Amino acid sequence: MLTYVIWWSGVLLELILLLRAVRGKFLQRFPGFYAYLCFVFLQTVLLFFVYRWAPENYARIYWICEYTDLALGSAILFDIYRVALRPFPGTARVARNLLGFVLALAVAKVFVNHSYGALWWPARTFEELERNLRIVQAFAILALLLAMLFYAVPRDRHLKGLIAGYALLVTTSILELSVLSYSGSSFVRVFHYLEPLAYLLVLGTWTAALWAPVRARQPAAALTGHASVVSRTRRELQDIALSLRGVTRR
Amino acid sequence: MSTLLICLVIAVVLLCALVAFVGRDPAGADRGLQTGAAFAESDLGGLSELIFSERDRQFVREERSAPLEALFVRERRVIAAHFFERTLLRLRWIRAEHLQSSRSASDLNVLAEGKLLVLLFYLCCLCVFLLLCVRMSPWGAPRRLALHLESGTRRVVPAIRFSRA
Repeated sequence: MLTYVIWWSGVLLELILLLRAVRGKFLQRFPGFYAYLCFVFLQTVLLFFVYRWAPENYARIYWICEYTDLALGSAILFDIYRVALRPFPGTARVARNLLGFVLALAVAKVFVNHSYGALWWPARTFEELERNLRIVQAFAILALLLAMLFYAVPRDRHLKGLIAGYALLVTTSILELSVLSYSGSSFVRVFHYLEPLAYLLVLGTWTAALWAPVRARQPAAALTGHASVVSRTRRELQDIALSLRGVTRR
Repeated sequence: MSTLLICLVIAVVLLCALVAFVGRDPAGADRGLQTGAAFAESDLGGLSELIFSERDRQFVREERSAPLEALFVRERRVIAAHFFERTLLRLRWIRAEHLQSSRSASDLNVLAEGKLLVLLFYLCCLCVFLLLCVRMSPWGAPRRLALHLESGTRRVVPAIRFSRA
């Protein structure tokens, strides 16, 4: 009974989010996110019917949907990157480099594992593979967050909610899947309830953030001349370094 | 077990970054920038002249009074601490101003930006270290304190060369 309540609450929240987006015209602003949400909505309904009437196929369909969901989830990151960093090409370039670095690290890890004679595929089970992919996503979110925090990129309620919800989703997935891999079958029953409950929390965050429209920020004009900015800052740092040296040389 | 711990650390780091992201207000940082600008306008060189003034030291030495020397050290420590605090503030202001200018630069050079940020971080760390030295050092004589600080700041020289490259 509780499973059904959690399940249908999720479906209801997804439906509310989609209807609200159509009404508030947010679909154009975050197309990747709403495509993901549409997929999750259809997936939840499909999985419910499979669970109810063909439980023997549930696990297979669940994992197919889960990996598609994982791939589509990256569209949310792309939406955040596009909307938040479009007015700031300098920060966008730094974020691109950081994301490239994260991806290169992930690929390097796979090759290192392979050279040590481990499996070429970076996991032994579906759970492990999903956890590893979620970890890569976590690093990508972290890179984006750090770039935005460091450059004090302005963010509205939509962006904050979107990134908070997705980061929560990834974090809870990593925690659940790592505990599941560690403790084995004893955690499966808890996982059965914990995963949809965590997802409800994420949906709640998204609904609260995306309920009302926000005023679109006017993009600032892109500037050139980064070299002159760097040389000006260097000069100022030289002054400080010299004054620090001067104090102690007296 | 180690994988579980690594996952836990990743989750905690991500949540901390998220809290900072949702909680911190970039407009507040801009207000801080204005305060820093006022500090940057003021003259730090004048303050640094005061800290280890040779004339003052000569005077204290000639007096041959232990309480006077202790008082002198205590006073110069306060001035030195103030100097490093202000230098730190100025460094923060420079960083904020630089990041604000470079975030809109369409021709941003990631390598140059990275080098500059490393140098900024290094100078900030050095300032914090010197501030701690001044506040907590057990040295009694000003000369010894000065020598200790000099050994700390000697590493600034490669930093300057690095910044010129």
